[in-house]
Amino acid sequence: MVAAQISYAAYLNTVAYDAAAEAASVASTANGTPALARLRAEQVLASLSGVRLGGIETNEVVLADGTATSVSVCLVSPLLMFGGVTVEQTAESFNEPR
Amino acid sequence: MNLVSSNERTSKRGTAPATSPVTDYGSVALEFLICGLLAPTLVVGGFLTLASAQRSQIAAQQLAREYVRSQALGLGSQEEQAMRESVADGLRLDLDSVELSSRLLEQGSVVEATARVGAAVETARMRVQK
Repeated sequence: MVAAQISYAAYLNTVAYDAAAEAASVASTANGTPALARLRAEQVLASLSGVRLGGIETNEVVLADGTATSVSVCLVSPLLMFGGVTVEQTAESFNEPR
Repeated sequence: MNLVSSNERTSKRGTAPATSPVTDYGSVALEFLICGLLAPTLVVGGFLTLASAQRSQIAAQQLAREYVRSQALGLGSQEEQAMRESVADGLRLDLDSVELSSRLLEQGSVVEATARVGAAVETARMRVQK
């Protein structure tokens, strides 16, 4: 049971990173918005079943001399014997000139 | 026709039936170690390794797309370093294991970027923005 939960949490970690990276990429385009980023992340996560979405957070951060969009995706794996496992992944992408 | 079961036959010979606990052999401790600890550990270890490789592949793909965009837009080397640091921090990797390179194709009208994250290598192309 523990092995299954850890393995599934590791898989969720990968999916969360993928969703965060895709969302950051969308949000950082010239016409990108946090709403579009959220939509893209939800599309990536749509195939997951039984997983609770902890939240999708979009922030503007300063990287080097430019600005970047940072997207954090938080997921909670299904409850098994030992409770849910929370995974959070963050990805950043440089903003295109707007 | 012999209708006597094998268990009955063994009993008649004075030995314990085949299903009797007396004939069980092996070690409970060894079984616990192999089935209860070693096998799940190997499964989880394999799964974590696989997930890590997949995450590196995704990161390399994302980095290549972002880097080719920055090169097509003519951004500087500070952004390149920041991108590498961002990915390395996010995946808890050594900065040296994240590499970026680019080259121009088709008389300078197309830029091709290659990103390496760990063992994963991805390439992206984009037309240079005027």
